[in-house]
Amino acid sequence: MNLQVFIDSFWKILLPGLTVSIPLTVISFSLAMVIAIITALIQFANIKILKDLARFYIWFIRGTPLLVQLFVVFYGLPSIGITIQAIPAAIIVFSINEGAYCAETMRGALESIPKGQLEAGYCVGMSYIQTIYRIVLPQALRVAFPSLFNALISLVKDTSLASNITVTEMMMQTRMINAKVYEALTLYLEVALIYLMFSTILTYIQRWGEKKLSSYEKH
Amino acid sequence: MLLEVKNIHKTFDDMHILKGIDLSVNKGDVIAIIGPSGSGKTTFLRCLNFLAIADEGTMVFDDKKINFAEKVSKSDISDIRKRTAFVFQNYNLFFNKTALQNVTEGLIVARKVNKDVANKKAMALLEKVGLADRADYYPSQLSGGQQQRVAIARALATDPEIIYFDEPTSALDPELIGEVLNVMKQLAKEGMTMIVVTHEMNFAKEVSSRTIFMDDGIIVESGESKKFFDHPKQERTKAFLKMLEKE
Ligand SMILES: Nc1ncnc2c1ncn2[C@@H]1O[C@H](COP(=O)(O)OP(=O)(O)O)[C@@H](O)[C@H]1O
Ligand SMILES: [Mg+2]
Repeated sequence: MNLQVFIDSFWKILLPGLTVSIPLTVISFSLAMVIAIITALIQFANIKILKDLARFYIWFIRGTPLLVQLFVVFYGLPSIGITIQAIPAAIIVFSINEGAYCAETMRGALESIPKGQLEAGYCVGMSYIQTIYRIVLPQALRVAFPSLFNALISLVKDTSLASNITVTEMMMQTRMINAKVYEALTLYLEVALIYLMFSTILTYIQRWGEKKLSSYEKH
Repeated sequence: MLLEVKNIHKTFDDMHILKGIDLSVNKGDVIAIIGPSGSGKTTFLRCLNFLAIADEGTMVFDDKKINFAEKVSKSDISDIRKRTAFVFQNYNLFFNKTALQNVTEGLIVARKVNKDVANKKAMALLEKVGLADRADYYPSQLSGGQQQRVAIARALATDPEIIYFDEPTSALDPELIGEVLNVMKQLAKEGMTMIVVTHEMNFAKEVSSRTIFMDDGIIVESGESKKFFDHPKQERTKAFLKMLEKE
């Protein structure tokens, strides 16, 4: 361990964390949530054909490694004329990948909401879409919240894989510093510590969010 | 005549559950439906509100005619549902909404009623069922009896022409049954048209104008309630009433 190297490089590593890793996480996760909710609702509402597409998408994405998906999009697609910059490629892959996992979480959550509330919605004159939007989905999001937040915390860490497709996020930055000063243990423990810091902060936000969301549960 | 159904049939997975039910309802009628569990009472009520779609038979609701042999149109379903209400055995309140919001939801969302108007009306209805002080409580913070009274207020909010009750007190602890039945009695007195599936024989006898005994998917016997209970005609009715007395 080299304390001086640690101190000197702290800000240099943290900076791409704040300007690349975090935004990459937030943007990808937001898109993933949109994908997940749509994919889950398609299955929940049992829409023909689209439902098979949704199942195929989830099967394919969950059955292949994230790193491989990144390589396919960034290194593979250019050979058929589709060239995507590193950061957009990372966003695309992370949102599609995370979307598949969160879709399964959301589907389970939607199915856990008692059907009677949907029927009660019909009986007061609401449409299927109105009842889903106002009654079922909010409750499902509440049920899914802890799992979704765990997925978010995983994603923060998984953004380190983007270093493999030339995105200069925290991990890439650490590797570049290490190439100059050869302090692998110090530097990689340091970046680990910063990821740990991010995860810990998110865990606190998760707890706070769960409390906020529990307003309609038993006190 | 407000509602008339004829020859209602319903089959689930090859099981013939409803085997030709006829019923006509006039404005202000309070009709009790009794019968052993599994006889199809819930299924029948659900068919009346299209929560289940009958396979065969006809319905006339005021000016609307429906033939279940054909595909029932979404707009017919939606129109009739907006003129009726349903009270479930297990309340089915919206869990993410307060008591007040449960009552206003059908007004604000389905009928585009102004929010202040809806809130005012909902408060008056909660008052009526004795729960004005619980307006801001979530269902999880209310007892079963209170939840069912909120459900009744929710049913009343949209000024239904008829309310279907499916064993509204069956899920309640005995000491909570009275508070719900009292609200229903009050509604009957005010002339609300109601069809009530119930195991509360006193309610059927004292409050309803007509009682129907269903068994195995058919109406075995029906008649004016006092007469029905004092002088049942069919052997199956007598046996059922006798069995209830023993309990
Ligand atoms: N959705 C359904 N799918 C299959 N069978 C059903 C369904 N709903 C009701 N049944 C069956 O129909 C029969 C009558 O049920 P129900 O109408 O609930 O009777 P009751 O309300 O008189 O107790 C029961 O045997 C029940 O299992
Ligand atoms: Mg029943």
